[in-house]
Amino acid sequence: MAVTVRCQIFSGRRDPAWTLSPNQVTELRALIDALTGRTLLKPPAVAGALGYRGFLIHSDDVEEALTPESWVIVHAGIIDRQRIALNLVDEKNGVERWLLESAGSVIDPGLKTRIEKEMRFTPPVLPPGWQGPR
Amino acid sequence: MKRKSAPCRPVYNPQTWNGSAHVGLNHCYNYATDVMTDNAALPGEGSGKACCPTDASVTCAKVGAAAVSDKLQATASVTTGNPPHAHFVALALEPAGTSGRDFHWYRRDCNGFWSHKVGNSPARNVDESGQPIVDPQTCDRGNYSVFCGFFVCDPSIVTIF
Repeated sequence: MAVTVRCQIFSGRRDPAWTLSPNQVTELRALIDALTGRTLLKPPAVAGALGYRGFLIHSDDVEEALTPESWVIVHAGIIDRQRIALNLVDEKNGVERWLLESAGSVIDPGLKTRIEKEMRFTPPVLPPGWQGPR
Repeated sequence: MKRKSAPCRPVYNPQTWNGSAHVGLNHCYNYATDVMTDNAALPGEGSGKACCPTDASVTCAKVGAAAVSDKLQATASVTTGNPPHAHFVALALEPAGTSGRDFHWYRRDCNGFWSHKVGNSPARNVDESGQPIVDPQTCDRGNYSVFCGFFVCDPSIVTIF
């Protein structure tokens, strides 16, 4: 199984991208599975603004994908699971920070500092009366 | 025999670029030049030397020269109508000293407005404030505050692949 991560920050240049080790995939899956908050919001990254737009995770193997869809966007405290499920809330940007750390030397220290400064949390707006999954 | 006039192009038709098979594989340079290569084309790559692998190499001179080597033509200004068989594109950069300094391209569509595509994101016809783009020199370009200039692009002759 290959799980690749792409840091979506550039427009003209090619984005930094790397492959997670099996141990990293296990760790990332545990981080995502531990999230309990749900939201109907999409991360702002999907609108395509210039600048940092979070991370795009892709799993080649559907059987072992991190979520029901092979593509996942992690940005602004939202884990966007595409069409199949409600999105997850990551209030402390823990998954986003973990992904940034997983880049290692692929992202140089200056760019890493810039991304850390641009990370933010978008408070989810839930429909009136929404109680969340029980 | 009278030559048939060139059709007005490029047409702003984002669904062509935003489908799942192409949206992630074509960046701003592809979109601006209206050449879909599905390999996130870089200026200069098609003519032998891809530009700008480092922050220091992202300058107006170097990105512009790479585009010219791909057969775009630098121009001081834009006219009301498009040149025959071609269209205008514009280049902007993030300020010098930005970690991960990047460049971005816009294109003028048949309707007279400008549109763009940010990296692997969907193409759109509004600026960073959500406003239609009348002039890329004055629109909200976010951190891409350095305006380099305009170029003429004829997609039938450029070397982008």
